[in-house]
Amino acid sequence: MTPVRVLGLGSPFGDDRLGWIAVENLMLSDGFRALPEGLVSAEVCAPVGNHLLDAMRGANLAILIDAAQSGSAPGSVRRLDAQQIEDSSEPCSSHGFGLSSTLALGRALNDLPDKVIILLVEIPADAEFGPGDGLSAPVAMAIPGLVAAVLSEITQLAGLVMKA
Amino acid sequence: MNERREIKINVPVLARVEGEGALDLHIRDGRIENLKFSIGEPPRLFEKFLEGREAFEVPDMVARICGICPVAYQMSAVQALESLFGWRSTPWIEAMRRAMYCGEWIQSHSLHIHLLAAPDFFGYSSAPEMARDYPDEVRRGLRLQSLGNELIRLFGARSVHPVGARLGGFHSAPPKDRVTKLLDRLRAALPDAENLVAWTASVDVPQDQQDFVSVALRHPSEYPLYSGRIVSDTGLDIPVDRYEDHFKEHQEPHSTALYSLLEGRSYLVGPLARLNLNWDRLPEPVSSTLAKTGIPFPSRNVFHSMLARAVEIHLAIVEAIRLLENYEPDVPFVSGHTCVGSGFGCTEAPRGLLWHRYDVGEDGKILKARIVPPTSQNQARIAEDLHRSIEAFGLDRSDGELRLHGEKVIRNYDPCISCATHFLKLKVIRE
Repeated sequence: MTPVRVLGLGSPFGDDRLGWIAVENLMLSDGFRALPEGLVSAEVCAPVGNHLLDAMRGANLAILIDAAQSGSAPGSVRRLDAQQIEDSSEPCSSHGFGLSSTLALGRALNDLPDKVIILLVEIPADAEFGPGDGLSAPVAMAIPGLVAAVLSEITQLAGLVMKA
Repeated sequence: MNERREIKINVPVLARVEGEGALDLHIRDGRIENLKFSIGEPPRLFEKFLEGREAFEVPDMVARICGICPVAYQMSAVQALESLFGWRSTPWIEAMRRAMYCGEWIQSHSLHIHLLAAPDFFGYSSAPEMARDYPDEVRRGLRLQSLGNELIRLFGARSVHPVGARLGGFHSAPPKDRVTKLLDRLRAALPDAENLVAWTASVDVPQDQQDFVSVALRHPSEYPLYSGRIVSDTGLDIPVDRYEDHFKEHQEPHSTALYSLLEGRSYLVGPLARLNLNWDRLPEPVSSTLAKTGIPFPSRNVFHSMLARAVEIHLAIVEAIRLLENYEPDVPFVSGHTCVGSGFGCTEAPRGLLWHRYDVGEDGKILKARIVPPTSQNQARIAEDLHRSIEAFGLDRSDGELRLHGEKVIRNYDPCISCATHFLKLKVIRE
């Protein structure tokens, strides 16, 4: 159980896959490999809800990566603190327990890491989510910057100096 | 002339049920003139997707019907096809199927009790809100849900849309050390399950006795899960391949899910129906834990569904321990030839009876599939319950109160509307 967890959220479809691809790129990056063993783990996390709370349990820092549609420029990256999006009144269903209600539930139960950071990448308003759709160009171009942002969060927390 | 006052309450997505449904309520002179519970979810056409597919593809395809009860869909499907092909599975395979199925009951029931149903009975609008005042109860629910997921993962590699089951059994047998670790967790969860039964029994639910028909599987010695005959408390006792002789589905214009009736009558499937018909099949210590609550079964109070779910969580943990405690890996699957004909399968999904029929052609491909999920079987009963419950609750209540009560009644059935074909748009017309 590592103190830092990076979790890519999403699905296999189109730009919604970006959280997964970001995690794959992160794990292959030199920066990630240079981190001390046992400090960070990264995984893709398909559904949110209890699965996500399980995946974050016991960590000091959790970094969640997800796609978002808010009307800003496609490919832009926004950094939020979990508390900014927790919403206990968000509707949930037996199958879909959304990110904001999951975080609100974790907070109510005192079951969240000390710090939960969410990195959201804006996807185009007309994004397609078909089974054969890959990442759109602006989203694909945002991945290197996103990976660098994740590494920077980790080193800040750990007070580490990155090896060249 | 009567002045017609029309009030529309629009809840775009009803919280804490799966799928899109609506309730239309027409009240005239203090009586319900018309009540329509409808499912507006677009048809998902799974039965059509299956046509032309190889039999071995079926378990992975039907698992996609539901993210909460994929194991149930896989188990009814493999049972139907294997019975047609004459494949005899081994006691090891049967036991491991039952163990995996226990995982699904544990996770689905824990989710429903703690995150979906309980807030209704404690006056909260959501689980996160309830969690602030009842953190220990909600944590217990999440622990149990994780345990159920882990049990599914043991056999299925992942808990949502697992991929470990196949026609004939499993792709591989879990390693013994993983089973041993999980057994420790299952044993450690027994006090949680016992406390949960006592807690759900103590919840102040509405006392609403109703007349309804319970339908469930019944097995000669076990609490029904993977196999049995279809029975009712009105004397029905049939093998699964005779289902179509007694149960008829029909379309209602306001709903995209089919309605199912038993000899022309609505009926109940699910945890309460199972327990009503099979309380004498509960093993120890499940049966004495239930007896301690002082609530007798069979029960005519549909709100005892939550207690029935808790009892079934306890049962599923006890069963999983029994099935796994002497675990040794074994040959994980049997195989054989396919053949032409019709195969029938029926198992107890967390929400109730899940019946499948497959017609297979000479080339071993699916000609026709018929899948009857629990929610469509409960649809007529839900409408009937709503009618009675809302009338008993009082039609002079405000629209908001009526809507909340209607939602509570519907959520109590844990409907999976997506399986059956989202919820709740309420339209009240008062005259």
